[in-house]
Amino acid sequence: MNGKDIWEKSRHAIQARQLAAMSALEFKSAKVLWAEISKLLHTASDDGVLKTKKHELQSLLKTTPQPKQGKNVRAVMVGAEKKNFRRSQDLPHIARSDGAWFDFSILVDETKKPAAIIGFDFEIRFPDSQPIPFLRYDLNTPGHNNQDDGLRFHIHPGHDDVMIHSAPMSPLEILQQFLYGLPIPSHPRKF
Amino acid sequence: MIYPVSADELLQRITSQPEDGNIWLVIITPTQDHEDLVNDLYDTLGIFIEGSIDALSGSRGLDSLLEALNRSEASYSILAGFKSWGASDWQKLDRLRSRLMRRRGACMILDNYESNLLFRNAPNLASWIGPRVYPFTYGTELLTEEEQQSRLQSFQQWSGQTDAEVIALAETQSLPSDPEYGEWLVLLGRGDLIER
Amino acid sequence: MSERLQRFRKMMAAFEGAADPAKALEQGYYVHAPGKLLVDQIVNRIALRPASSHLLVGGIGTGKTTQLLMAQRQLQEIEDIAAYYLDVSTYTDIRNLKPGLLIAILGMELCGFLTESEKAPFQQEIVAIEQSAYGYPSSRSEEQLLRNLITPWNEGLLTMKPSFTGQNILEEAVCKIWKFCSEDYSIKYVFIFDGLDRSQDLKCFSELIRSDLQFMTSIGMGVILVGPSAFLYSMPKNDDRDLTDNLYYQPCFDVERDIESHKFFSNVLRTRLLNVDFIDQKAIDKLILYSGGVLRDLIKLAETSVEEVYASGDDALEIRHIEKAAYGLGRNKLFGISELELDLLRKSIENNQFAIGSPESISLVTSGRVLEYRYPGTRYAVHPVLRAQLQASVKAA
Repeated sequence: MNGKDIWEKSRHAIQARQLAAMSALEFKSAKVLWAEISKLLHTASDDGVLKTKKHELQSLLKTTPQPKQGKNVRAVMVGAEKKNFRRSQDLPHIARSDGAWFDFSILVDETKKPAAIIGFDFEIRFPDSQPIPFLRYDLNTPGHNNQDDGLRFHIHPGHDDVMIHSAPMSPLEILQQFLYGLPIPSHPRKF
Repeated sequence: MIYPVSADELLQRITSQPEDGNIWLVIITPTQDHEDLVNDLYDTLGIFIEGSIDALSGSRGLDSLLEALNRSEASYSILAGFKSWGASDWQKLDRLRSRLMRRRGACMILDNYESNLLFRNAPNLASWIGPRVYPFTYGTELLTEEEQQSRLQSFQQWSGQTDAEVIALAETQSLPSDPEYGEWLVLLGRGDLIER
Repeated sequence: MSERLQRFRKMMAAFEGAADPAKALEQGYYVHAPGKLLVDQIVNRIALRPASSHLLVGGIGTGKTTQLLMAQRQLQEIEDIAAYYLDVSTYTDIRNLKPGLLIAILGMELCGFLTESEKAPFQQEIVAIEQSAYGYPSSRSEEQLLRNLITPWNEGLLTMKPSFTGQNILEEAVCKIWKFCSEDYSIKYVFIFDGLDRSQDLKCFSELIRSDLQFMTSIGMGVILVGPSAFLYSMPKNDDRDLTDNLYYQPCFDVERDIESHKFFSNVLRTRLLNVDFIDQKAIDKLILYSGGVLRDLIKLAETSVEEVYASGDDALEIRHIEKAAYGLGRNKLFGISELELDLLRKSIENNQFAIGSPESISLVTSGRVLEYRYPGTRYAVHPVLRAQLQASVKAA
């Protein structure tokens, strides 16, 4: 086995460990997930973490409706009308008081009981003064293992082409990190 | 000016109320939304108030409801099912209002007709409810049809592909597993095509 | 829980005591308004003549229960008076008002004063009282009995379909136990009966107080009773007013024309709003204006305005929060109005006049949609929040 094959094997082993550790991917429903997220956001607003006002949160946090053909996959997201592919602050997002801002989208499979989270993307963007422009967590949807490349759950640390395995974190934990865990240092390190 | 409340705002209001406040409020919404609203509140309210919830129905009559309320140990009660109640039921509830003092809080889900009956026949209960009478619009946290279409356009612009192309790829299990594509299928109502 | 949420819950808890007047008193939120409240008159008269009867009527939310509880407290401070507060609606559905009801409740309470050994010589009387109350000898707990609303075979006074006819037996029994309690202990008893203001059958109410009040004062007991405000407007000329020694009417406070009333309401708010930065005088004045001089409406508006502040993410109470709360209260008062009543309201707003006499006009006053003031002068006014709603809908049309 060459080094590249060894690395591929390791990627899948890491992924298996991640997914085994992530028991917090189950919720009663998309509605319950929406409520948990809403509570977190409102608490953050009460704590003074957010620049986005409480009454603005209700128009930002949305879910797709129940599909007409019965239970299916639903999305819980920030920002309704447009997916923010261009990272534009002109599109709806949640803003922190320190200038960082973020949005996310989570896919919930309600055909299972309990419902299961099968994919998400969370991205936080930082002010220009910061060394990295953004941090993004992706959980790819379950697909062929070789499509995933053993990186179903990964982070983009500031560049769309750079991916590393992520620690096993649930959407609520990632959101908590976005709210409380990534402060902008007042005195950035200099080299 | 009309001030309808959304699910989010309603949950915030109830969250702000003290834990032993015994605060009652009325939510007014069309009958066809009552069942869904009861289920939603039952699932979500406990997350906000960090307490137990029960959903009780008035469909078996006042005495049965009072008994259920007195027996219940839940922090908060969601009450609905007042369709069969007439003026005399509301008048009786009004006379027995003192027996409602033991609840942490409750919300009564009524339609316009039921609200008229309550406020006509239960003046003491009405006084106690006070300003907490909220017209409620069900589903404001859901994407509208227009919003879904607009969001889909942003996906199309991003990838250069059409909805039909994405569905075709999904059907042959050739669609990338990036979460954006999964969301695209969900917006098209084809979450069933996401590989499991 | 965030510190902000804790702070707001605490603020709201200060107002929520209004739902339970006993709680409000315990928490120290009672504000006394000398000359404005009837409690002083009632207590002074009872102190002079304990075996007297007092009937208090007043609009919904005008603070009657708070005054009764305060009266109880003040009477308890008089050395030889023991005052007891009872909410009749917790004993029975007051739809079934029947002569003897209050005597039966009184009897049950007096039985509760006796120790086991003291009960021994009164077994017959105790059975008579219980049978009068519940229709059968009670071996169940009081809690079970109070919930027993749908047992048609019971025929006592406190049950669904009272067909009780043994008033003489009941009165004799109560009289005997009362004599024992009052003579042996040299205490003058005063019983305060709340909850009857919710009665809608004025004829039954009239018969009840004619029978029961007369009995209670005849045996040397003091009685304070709350009655339905409609009683005042429906009394014939000669006159159910003589049914009690004293009749009191608690009107709304004319906060627009009486500066002392305005001050009183301001104090009621300031007692609860300890954080002076949270609300300014303009907002306080707005709350008082929108309350129309009804204490409960003041409390509810203030409490809901605080809730508005929290839900909107703001830090101080502003006029727009109060407007939203006032809108909700206006909605409340608009529901269930008949066309005739609506017409009366509109005319009243237009002409600045209101005459009480018709069933619709009485209904508007007793439901708190039109407010009656007695001081500095008698006048009627459409509740300010209702006025605002009606004027807004005229503008919109």
